[in-house]
Amino acid sequence: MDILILCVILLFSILAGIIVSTLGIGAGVILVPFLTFVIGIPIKVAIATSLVDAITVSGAASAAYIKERKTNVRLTLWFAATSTIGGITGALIAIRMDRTLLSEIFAIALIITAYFMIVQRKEVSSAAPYGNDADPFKLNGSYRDDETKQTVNYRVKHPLLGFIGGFLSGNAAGLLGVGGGIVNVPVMNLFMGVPIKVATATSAFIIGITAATSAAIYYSYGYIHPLLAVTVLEGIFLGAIIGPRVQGRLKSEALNTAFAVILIVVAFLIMAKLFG
Amino acid sequence: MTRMEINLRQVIILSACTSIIISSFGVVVLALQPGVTTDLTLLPTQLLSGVKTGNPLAIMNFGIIVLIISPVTWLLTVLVSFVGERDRLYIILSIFVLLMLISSSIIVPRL
Repeated sequence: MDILILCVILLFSILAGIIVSTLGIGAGVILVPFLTFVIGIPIKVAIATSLVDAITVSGAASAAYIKERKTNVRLTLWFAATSTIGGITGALIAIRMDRTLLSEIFAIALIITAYFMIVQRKEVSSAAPYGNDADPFKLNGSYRDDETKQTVNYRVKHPLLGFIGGFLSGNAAGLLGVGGGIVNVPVMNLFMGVPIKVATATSAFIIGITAATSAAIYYSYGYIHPLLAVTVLEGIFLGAIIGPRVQGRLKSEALNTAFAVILIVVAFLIMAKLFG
Repeated sequence: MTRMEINLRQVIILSACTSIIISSFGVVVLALQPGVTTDLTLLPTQLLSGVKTGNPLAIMNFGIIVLIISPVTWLLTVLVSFVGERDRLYIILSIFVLLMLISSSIIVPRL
């Protein structure tokens, strides 16, 4: 691979790392279109690269969230039990799928991601007050909110939904390399009563486990290009370090909406390219 | 933080740093050995011998494998904690997820 192209990929990966850590979205929605439609790398290699980097981002984010006590480890296992199955099936389908169809599905996934980026922020946390209700699965928890400086207690409802949400998010990750946050976070927040901050933190941890499942399959089929994966990995890692430092200077809501619009434009560009 | 959270955080940081250091070392070795091809996929047996002989492709691959298996160490940490707490439900769930992770790299590719 040309050194100049590697430098361009490294610089873009740093930018992607900044965006990912600022907006809390998966790197795949940025990396896969760039690697495939700008650099010209096959989409399956781009998806595999994105999955490897999702493990790094998940680890970096989880280390911070666990310290803040926002990651619900028990809830993670309800989702991961089926997200790993979804990750395996998604990867196996993607490996056998025609690349044009895969690109079309990816474009649709970008539009869905953009929709959730706009809608999700407007949702109010549906966290229920911590009562004396029975907690047979030990899923209830609490965390300290940095904004209100108060301890927030929450009660997790309908844990079985974790199995359904996990499978869907795992499938999205394995098939498209976009991470499962677009499924995990709304399922936890809207249907299970988990506060948005806990849902985001727990989803970050789940994504690492799911991405590893799918990445292992892509690796064994030879879709992981080591130099490309390491270049993107280091760029994302650097970007994730820079991101939180610039986050305070950016208006995250405006940035969120602007980026959602960009995703929709990219989705239509992909469609336009595919249909000539 | 609980004991499980402290241990889990340490394992996550250690595994991420290890894989990044190994992969970056591979890039440095590659920069010192221009002309080495990086487009090949190595077999597991070639990988170990390649790491021993300082093959940059093998070192980078090894770093990626360490990264891919790092969630196994995260889950093992969680499992040990649940075993300590004798929490049967979460012991079963942890073992199940671990088996899925292991099967994805060993069993599924052979199907």
